[in-house]
Amino acid sequence: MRLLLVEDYEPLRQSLSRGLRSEGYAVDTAADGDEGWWYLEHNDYDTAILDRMLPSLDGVELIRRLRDAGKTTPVLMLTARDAVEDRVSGLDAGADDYMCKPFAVPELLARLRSLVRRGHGQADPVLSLDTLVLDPSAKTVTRDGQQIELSPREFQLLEFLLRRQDAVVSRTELWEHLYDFEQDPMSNVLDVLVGRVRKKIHIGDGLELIHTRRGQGYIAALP
Amino acid sequence: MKRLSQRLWWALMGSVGVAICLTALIAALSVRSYATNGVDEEIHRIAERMSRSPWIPFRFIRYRPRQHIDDYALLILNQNQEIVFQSENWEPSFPQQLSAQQHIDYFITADGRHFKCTQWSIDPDENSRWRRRGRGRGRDRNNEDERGHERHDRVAYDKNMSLILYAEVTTLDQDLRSLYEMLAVVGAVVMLFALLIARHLRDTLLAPVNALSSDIAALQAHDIEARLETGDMPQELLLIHNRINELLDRLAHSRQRERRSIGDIAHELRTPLAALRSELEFASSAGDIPEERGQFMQEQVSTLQQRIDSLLLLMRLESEQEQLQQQSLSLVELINDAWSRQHDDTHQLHMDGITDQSIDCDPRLMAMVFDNLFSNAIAYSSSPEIGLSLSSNTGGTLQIHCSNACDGMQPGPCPQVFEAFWRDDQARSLNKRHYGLGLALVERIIMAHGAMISARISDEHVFHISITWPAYVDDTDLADPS
Repeated sequence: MRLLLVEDYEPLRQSLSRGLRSEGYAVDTAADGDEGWWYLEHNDYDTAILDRMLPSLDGVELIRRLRDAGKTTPVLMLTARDAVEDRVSGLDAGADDYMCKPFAVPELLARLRSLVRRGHGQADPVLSLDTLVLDPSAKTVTRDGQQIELSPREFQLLEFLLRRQDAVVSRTELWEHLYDFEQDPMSNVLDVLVGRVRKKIHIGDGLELIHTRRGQGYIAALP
Repeated sequence: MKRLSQRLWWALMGSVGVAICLTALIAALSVRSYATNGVDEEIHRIAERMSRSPWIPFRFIRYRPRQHIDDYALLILNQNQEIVFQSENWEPSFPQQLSAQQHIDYFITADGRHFKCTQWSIDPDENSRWRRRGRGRGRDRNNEDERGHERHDRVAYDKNMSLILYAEVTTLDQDLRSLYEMLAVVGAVVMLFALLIARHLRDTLLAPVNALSSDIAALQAHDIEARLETGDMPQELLLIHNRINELLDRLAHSRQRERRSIGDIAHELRTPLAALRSELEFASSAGDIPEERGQFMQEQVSTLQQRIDSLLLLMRLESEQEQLQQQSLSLVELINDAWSRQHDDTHQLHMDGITDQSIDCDPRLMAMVFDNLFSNAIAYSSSPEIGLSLSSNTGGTLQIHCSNACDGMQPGPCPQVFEAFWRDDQARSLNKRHYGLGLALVERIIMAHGAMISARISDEHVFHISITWPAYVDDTDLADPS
């Protein structure tokens, strides 16, 4: 899952981006509203985390601009202001969720999972295909009840494919949602990653669940 | 305190009333003075001329009553008080020889008739000269003059003779009385008109003041954007009007600045704390920090966060930015919940007069009130007993008393306990739970609900906090209508 974090306070920006990356998220960071708008305009994020008080372009104004552009990217707003009118104005501007600083990290991660799930139009927090079950909150994957160990990046790939199951996901799309802006999209790291995940979830005589559509991308579906 | 309209009303009516009365009085006195002076001058002139003439009867007949005088009556007495001459209309009841002075004036009323009187002593030297001349002429004259009129006898003057002249002014006095009555009636009518005019003037003059007063009264404390309308304001009031609007502007700017400040302070304090906390939690979950150290750091972060939150809440309450989410709550539940959160095994809560009463309040903030009251009582009590009592009075107010034994503080009121960051411990030894904001928050929360709070230490060294809640719902009455 790819996130955009727009926060002007560098220590918090670094801490959050580092922590979220360790959770397997691909994270782009921006230090002000203008930079944040550039990222939002040119990329498709699973969720955006915006600070409310930003230099050059306020967080509320950034959300308005995003919604005016027709983008439905889920937005989690972070703010140090906890007054009722501040929360109301942020949500009215188009934010999907609101958290006051300082926040508990487990709560932040839970809200991010919720926003990602809703962004993909799913209500069930657990993803499954045939006998494969993926629990995003517990970070577990099982097949036929057997635990499968995945790295954070592999987990994110499988989660994304399962969220879009029965639909072809292009390499570009996969890349955009798994890797952040800093990483080189021309390498073959994606093919290697898909191959590893495919191998790990194929247990015994189980069905092949991740298929390659030549020239189109990948699809998670029953054969 | 009298209203301005009343003051103006009485000032106008007083001025008009005094002016009308003075005018009527002056008019009456002037007319009376004019008339009576004329009478006085006339009778003095007659008396003087006759006192110098031996032909008194003849002269007297020639003096016909003039303006304001109805009739004359004359009496001349010699030095032995014998009548030398008496006119036909002389009344026996008229006083005679009142004084031996040169001349005196007086006023009498007899049988409903009014008289101005003058009494003269006749000058003997002058009269002796006249007497000589009169005798000379008298010898040459017959009892009739050239035109055949009857000639009266001369009166021979002598020393110490008195001339008493009465002028009847009954008609004049009646005319004056009629004038006074007319003036009184006219004055009353003018006063009535003046009353109506004064009322109209008062309303007209005070209309802008009343309009300004209404506009100011309509200003709501919470609506800091409201301003007074200029309208058709007189120049004198425009200054007040503009100054009030300037003050409102300054108040609004101050509020906005305060609001911005609170937002900025929150941002400046909470954002680094957020960075610290997120770094700590990510590191702890990744196992980068030993569990014991991680827990210690987490506790310090929580303490810091609690103090920042308390400080910001206090600032919002002081600047009336905290919006209360009120609902009806059971007081017993509030108290029991708070006690269960705060109590330890060494302290006991003694409740008195606690019945199932409900109050309208913000649940989160009122929970904070009782948490702080119990927490402070437990922390500083020198006895294991904490007291809590409720009492209501006929005015519909509810009294909540929380008490605990305390040593070291002087008896008397102690409002300083509600000051932010006040602590009896001057060294401000770092206490994990108590840092001097708890009771300050309690006071602001209570005041935000429209209630009152006070603190005092009794002579028995018991610390009392009393809360007076303005109105409450007694559930016992609702549950049992009988």
